[in-house]
Amino acid sequence: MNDSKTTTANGANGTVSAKGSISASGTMDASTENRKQNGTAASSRKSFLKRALMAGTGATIGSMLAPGLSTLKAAGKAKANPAPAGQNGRWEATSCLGCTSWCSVQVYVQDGRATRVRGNPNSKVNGENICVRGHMGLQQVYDPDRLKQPMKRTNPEKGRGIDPGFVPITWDEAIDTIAEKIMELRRNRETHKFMLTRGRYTYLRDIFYDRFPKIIGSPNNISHSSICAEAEKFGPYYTEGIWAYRQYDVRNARYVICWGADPIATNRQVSHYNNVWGELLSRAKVATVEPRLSATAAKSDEWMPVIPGQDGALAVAMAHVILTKGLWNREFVGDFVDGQNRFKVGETVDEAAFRDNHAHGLVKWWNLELKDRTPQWAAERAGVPADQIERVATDFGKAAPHAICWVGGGPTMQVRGAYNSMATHALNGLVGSVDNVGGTLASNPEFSRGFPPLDPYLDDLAREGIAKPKIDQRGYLEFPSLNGGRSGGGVITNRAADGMLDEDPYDIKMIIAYFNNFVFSSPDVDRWERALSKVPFNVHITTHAAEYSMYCDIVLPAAHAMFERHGFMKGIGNGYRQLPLNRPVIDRVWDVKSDETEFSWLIAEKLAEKGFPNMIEHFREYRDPETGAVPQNAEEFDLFALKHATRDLWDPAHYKGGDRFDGWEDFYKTGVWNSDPYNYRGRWSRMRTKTGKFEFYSETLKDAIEGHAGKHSVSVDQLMESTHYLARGEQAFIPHYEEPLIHGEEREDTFHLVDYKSRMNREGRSANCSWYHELKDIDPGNVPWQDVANLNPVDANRLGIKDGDAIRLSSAAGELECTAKLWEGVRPGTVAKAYGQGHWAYGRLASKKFGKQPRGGNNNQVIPADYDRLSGSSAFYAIVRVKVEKV
Amino acid sequence: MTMDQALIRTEHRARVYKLLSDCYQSPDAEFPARVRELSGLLNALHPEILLEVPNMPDGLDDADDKGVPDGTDASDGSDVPDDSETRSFLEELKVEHARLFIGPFSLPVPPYGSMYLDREEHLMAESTKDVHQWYLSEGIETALKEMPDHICIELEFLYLLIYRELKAQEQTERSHDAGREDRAGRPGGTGHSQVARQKSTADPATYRDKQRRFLEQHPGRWIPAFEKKVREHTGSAHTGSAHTGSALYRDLAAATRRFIAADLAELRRDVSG
Repeated sequence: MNDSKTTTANGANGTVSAKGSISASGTMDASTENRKQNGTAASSRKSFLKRALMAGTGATIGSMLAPGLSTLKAAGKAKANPAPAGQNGRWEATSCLGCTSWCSVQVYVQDGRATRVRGNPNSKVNGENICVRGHMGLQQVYDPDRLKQPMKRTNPEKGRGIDPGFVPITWDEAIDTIAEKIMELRRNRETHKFMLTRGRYTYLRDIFYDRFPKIIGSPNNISHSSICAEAEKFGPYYTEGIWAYRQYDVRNARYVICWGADPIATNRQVSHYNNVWGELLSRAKVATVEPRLSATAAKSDEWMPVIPGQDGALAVAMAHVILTKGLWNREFVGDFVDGQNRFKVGETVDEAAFRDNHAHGLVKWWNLELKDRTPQWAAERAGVPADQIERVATDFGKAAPHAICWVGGGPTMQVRGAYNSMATHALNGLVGSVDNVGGTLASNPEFSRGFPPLDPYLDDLAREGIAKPKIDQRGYLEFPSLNGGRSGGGVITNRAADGMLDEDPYDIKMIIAYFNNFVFSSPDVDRWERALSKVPFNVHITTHAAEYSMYCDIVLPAAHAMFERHGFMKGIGNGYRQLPLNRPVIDRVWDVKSDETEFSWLIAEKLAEKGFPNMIEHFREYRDPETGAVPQNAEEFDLFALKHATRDLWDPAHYKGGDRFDGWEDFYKTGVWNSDPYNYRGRWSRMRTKTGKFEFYSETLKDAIEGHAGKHSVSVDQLMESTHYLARGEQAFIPHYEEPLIHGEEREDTFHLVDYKSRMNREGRSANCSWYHELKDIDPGNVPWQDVANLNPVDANRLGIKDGDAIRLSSAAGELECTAKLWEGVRPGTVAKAYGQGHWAYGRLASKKFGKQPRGGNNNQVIPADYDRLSGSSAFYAIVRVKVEKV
Repeated sequence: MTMDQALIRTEHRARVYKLLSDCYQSPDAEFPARVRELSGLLNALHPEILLEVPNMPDGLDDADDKGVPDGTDASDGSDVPDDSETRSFLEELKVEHARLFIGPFSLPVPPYGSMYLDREEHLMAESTKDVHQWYLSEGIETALKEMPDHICIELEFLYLLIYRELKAQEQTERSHDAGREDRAGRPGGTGHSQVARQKSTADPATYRDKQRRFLEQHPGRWIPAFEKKVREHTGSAHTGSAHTGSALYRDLAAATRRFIAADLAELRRDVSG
């Protein structure tokens, strides 16, 4: 249904007179006349039938269609004789993008309609089971509040609470308008003022995220990564050279410590860990470090409700215990030359006395940091008893090397979290569980491949634009963002808002955003609202219009990643890597398109029409690997791109490893490729660090930090100060304790905010599903149909707050309102609240009153915009004390 | 009622369903003409409806005067605040139509049957599947990228069923004629044409029965609840009483509900009578 369709009403082209009576011109004589004549206009009948039958000429009786039909048509042959209802269902493989587990799933499809979801039995990672989020996909795809067709804004004024007045337009109008804006930037030689932002993606992402802006000539492709988990990757990178998520070999583990990670609820490869958690508990011990009793904490042997931000104290104290008790893994780490343990409280050790094996710099680490970090010292800071610290560390060390420190967002996505990330992950090095049986593993090799070369399609204007600095200020002195060891190597998503507001390095004139909602998902959302209000032309490609859409000129309906489009994902777990396919398994319900492929193609076609063919010429290189055919339209491009990227997985002539397939059809139907089993200890002394070893003293970080400091002509100490770390001298290169930097005063009525992610969040996109609200109490401490903040009863009684009271949380960043729920599962002095609700512009269930009143409150309204600057991450945890009061 | 009168009535019914279907699509320049024609036809078929929806089509008179809106429509801080002064009447109507029936945010009045018929307010529910089966059994499918139980499609389906009734009627008459001609020994072996042979499968009464059953199972069951929602979301609390677009859709929904009820009653009288 769009406004460009010419309505060919049933031949009754009645003309309307000024007075509103109708003078008939042919058929269906109008009523005014008929009323007068008491319905005896026989000639009218004849003419109507005559016309109608003429219109139907050629049609057989069986399919006779009335003239002027605009919503119905003759059924295709296959559809005209359907199998009896209920007897034609099939399980069809696809991927769930409800979180970063990226499970391979199957959808039961009847008559083009999805009715059920399960894990794909062909998956060696998640198997047949999936979590609640996969099932919720059904409510998302069939949500009446979905964005159904392209729409444009009619109200030029932008801001919170201002209705954009969206009206439907055709895809062609939308694409033409967008392409024209791109051409305008190119004519004015300001292509760098174009920005592409993304949230989630499939691995067809490079078409849209990389090729698209580059061919136009913009350096600004801004990913969501740093509001996701970059600090979590910092520790593994600067100890063992992997900037990526790890998998945990819990099937073979004897001890697991979860650091601010909730693997059976939220992250990561949740389905697999749910499959094995019960068995793990029967064989191994589990400790969870988290200020609230998470789902995983509730299924642990030890709960260590740490004072927010003090995780690092626990980690270095545990390292201290492991070393003083001689529990480190000698095979991996090395040993004293004479076999005598010289790690004694307060005593420095001669480096020459110790011989490193597959690790580097243990004695330096001990001397610079660990020698005084006793459990008593940590207990005073972390609020966890010294004997528990000692017990957990000892049991953990005794389980070596089958002992896992599972590093989640909690201790790392903090201001100064980079060093917590190193400290917690370094424990894996101490016990030799890195890359080992029952330990922390990297990703198995996989054999997808990139897209055709881009270079020939970049013109001078594009090259000029790409060379400009990026809008997120990465690489500035205060924002090292050292992904990959490079100054400014990683995105600083949330800083882009400031770049836009301050026009530093310049202003942004056009944005295309997909699969994201930064106005909701970034801390201190107000900055995004102000920044986007300034952007002259903004496009949102999304399944659901959301807060971000309120600032857009055009909103485009995206195909749902689990049901309606092509793509592929890369998941790890259970000692395998899997590449599951996203497949369009149902009939698209509305006029939706795939963002990464179909949209890109349509824009490329339109740009060519307007005299800029580079993009479409590049896209024509994405040939069908089977036939060599050049894509002729968006649908072919979409399919060929997928076949091209995955060719080495399915083409027997290109086989490189893992599951074998007969060819494309076989792979497509199976829906998932599994790698070969994990090659344990394959990376020992072959790590991508400067030394090739696991670095307790990170030569790799030293190079990166000195490189960034050198670029800005400052000393390492000056750099540490500019980036708000306390480390001085060589401390900057080792895992160490940093006192947390927490915003807000410590007062009687202020509490550490403990933000966490709801098990029901499909990456924060599911708040409009009724199951989200009905089942909300599967998050411990939560209540169905409410957005609660948990207070310890001790604190609540002191403030006179009771269960069910409306309360306000506020900070310098802003405030939110929610419902109080008293719960012993939160540490006194903290208030815990799940992220996910508080939408003020979304669907019927997510918002109470569209544009005005959210249901619940968005944590990002009270979390200030601050960063772990070494990794570029936004801080979400241990970052703010909020005032709590009754409304 | 004579046979001709009955046929004209049937034609009018077909046209009403088609017009109603078109009126629930995003409005274009034809919208006022459709509403006027609809009013005329409703007056011919069920004059009592317009007595109960007295502003239709007079609400359009404002519209005619409103090449440029006067800016008083929605400045009360309501759901559609800050209308631009330059918004044309048609654009205003489009915005209001999108707000009520398309989105893109919370959809106040979902135009989908299953949202009213299914216990859990889901789309693609069992009732949706049933509508889909109805279409397949008539050899058709949806041409819109929409749910099968979208109001436009269900209403157009009724138009189609009535059209087929009319066509069956025509064929019946033709075959009578052909029969007479044959008996009179007039030329035309073609008298034993397809059309004649297919008479048995195209009985007008069958199509009337289908219309009744489809109304009873689908729109007849949910349009009242739909209309209630339209009323709730077009009241002065939402858009201001002066909002022409709101008033038009409120009247349209009221007319739809009343027409469907009256039409169903008429089809049922067929059965009992």
